[in-house]
Amino acid sequence: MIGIYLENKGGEIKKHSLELLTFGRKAFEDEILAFTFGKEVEKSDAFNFGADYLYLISSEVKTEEGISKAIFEFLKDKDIKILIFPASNTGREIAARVSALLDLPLIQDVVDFKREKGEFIFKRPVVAGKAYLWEKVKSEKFAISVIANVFPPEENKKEEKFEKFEVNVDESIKIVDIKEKEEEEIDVAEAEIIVSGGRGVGGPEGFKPLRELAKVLRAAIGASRAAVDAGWIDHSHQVGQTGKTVSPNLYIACGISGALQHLAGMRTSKVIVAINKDPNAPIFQIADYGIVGDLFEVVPALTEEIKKIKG
Amino acid sequence: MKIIVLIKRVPDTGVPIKVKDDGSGLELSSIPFVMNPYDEYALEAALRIKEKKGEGEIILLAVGNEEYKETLRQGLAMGAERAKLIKIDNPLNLDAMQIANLLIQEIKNENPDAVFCGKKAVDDERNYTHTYIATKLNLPLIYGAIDIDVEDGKFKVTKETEKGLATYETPLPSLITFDKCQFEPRYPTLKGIMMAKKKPIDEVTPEEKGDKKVESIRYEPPPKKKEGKIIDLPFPENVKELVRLLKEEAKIL
Repeated sequence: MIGIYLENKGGEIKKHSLELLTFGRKAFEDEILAFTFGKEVEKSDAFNFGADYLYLISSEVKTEEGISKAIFEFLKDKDIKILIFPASNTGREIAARVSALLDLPLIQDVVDFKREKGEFIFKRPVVAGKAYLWEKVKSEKFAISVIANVFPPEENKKEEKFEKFEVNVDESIKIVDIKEKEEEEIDVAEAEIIVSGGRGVGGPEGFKPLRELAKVLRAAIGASRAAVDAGWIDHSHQVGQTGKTVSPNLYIACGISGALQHLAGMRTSKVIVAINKDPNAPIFQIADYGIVGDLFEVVPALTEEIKKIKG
Repeated sequence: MKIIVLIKRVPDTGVPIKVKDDGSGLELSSIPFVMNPYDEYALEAALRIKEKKGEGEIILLAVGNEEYKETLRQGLAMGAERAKLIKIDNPLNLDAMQIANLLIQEIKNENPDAVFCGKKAVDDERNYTHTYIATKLNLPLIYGAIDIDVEDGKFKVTKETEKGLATYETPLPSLITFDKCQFEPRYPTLKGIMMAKKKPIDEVTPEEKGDKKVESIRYEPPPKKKEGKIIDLPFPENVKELVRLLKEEAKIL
């Protein structure tokens, strides 16, 4: 049996998590026990994408610690060989906490797998994407977390076998305050499309045309270290070294020259578009399509063109 | 207050790194090494707490070889009181749980009020060692702090969450991992560097390293991107052509 943790937002299972159902079945060819945390869940997606069982774990906890302990209580007497988590921001943390509670070895950020000499081996980025490492686990039971946008989800309809699991656990940490974001933002680590800005945007106001483009594309806003260090946008948007490693289907780099640290964090994007004034900017070396020009002219025009085709 | 800061020595992130031709490892012989950037934030946070309270002891703890002393010396120059090195010739050969178990032993011996470290090491990026330590020692854990304060015997920790900037409260002792913070790590002063020469780096040689559960097989360079094209048309035809290519060639719109 394979255990897969599905992240949900307001009960709706995230696409990244649905990818894991497809990945889990293809990689391990075993029954899938999926579980999610919350008060309610839209069940049908899990069963449409290949979950054999779905459990909704509920508990009156608020922190990642509490959620992890509740998951541990659910898993501790189940016979699960391999546990799979989404390598999102919170997914990685929960993967580590649950694995440690279960005393399992863990490989984070898996992007590929293989069977070699009868054993599973897993590939993941190291040194911020400058290299990849294949690893094997010498333990019958183990856990992995898997990066978003690597394994496309495929439908695989199953009969609905659903149960709830309610549990009380203690939390030693607590959240005393949250400054909620004004607008719901898409997390760059999980986005399918990223519109990213660098030094060339010139200031906080310079992100405005990028946000408009992001809106028509339903994209997340990314940023280079230069833009974050200048205080134009907060660190949660930073891509690259000391930021996030991303692998979206489309990455649009606006006014980003392409420092090594930035390229390492986004080079596995499927399609890269670069818009920059400087024809010698290193970003053009890894871009699939480049436009040499002023982003304040090009980006709004691009937004208008895309609006046309999206109707 | 006694704070242990876990330190890792990593290849400088601004330098290109190549995979060895046989895939057995990374070509590191001519690469400069630095303190893991996230550990630097952890150390800076500890120094700020010590300065605010006007008392305290900061102990650097690492698993590594002789070369680690250079990195520990840097941390001592920034203001830590002393350092402890768990001596292993090739620390890259150990997995996260083995490293964690070695550190756990020394943390127990010191019995600190807090353990601080980076949220991950920028070289192997395992993202597990700290959590395993906290869990085994039954220490409350907060992941990815960007600011910290101590009040009434509790840590107040700021971190970014999906919902927004959150403040967490955690008792002492706790383990806290640090992201890139709202403050920058200090540079060692000349005085600090001079004083660091006299500060002790204790060495411990572990007897038992435990079983290795995760084994490296081989390294690979990142996939090569095929040559891209610059759309060499005047504005706004270049934008129209880009949208056409994204739609018809890349099939992404």
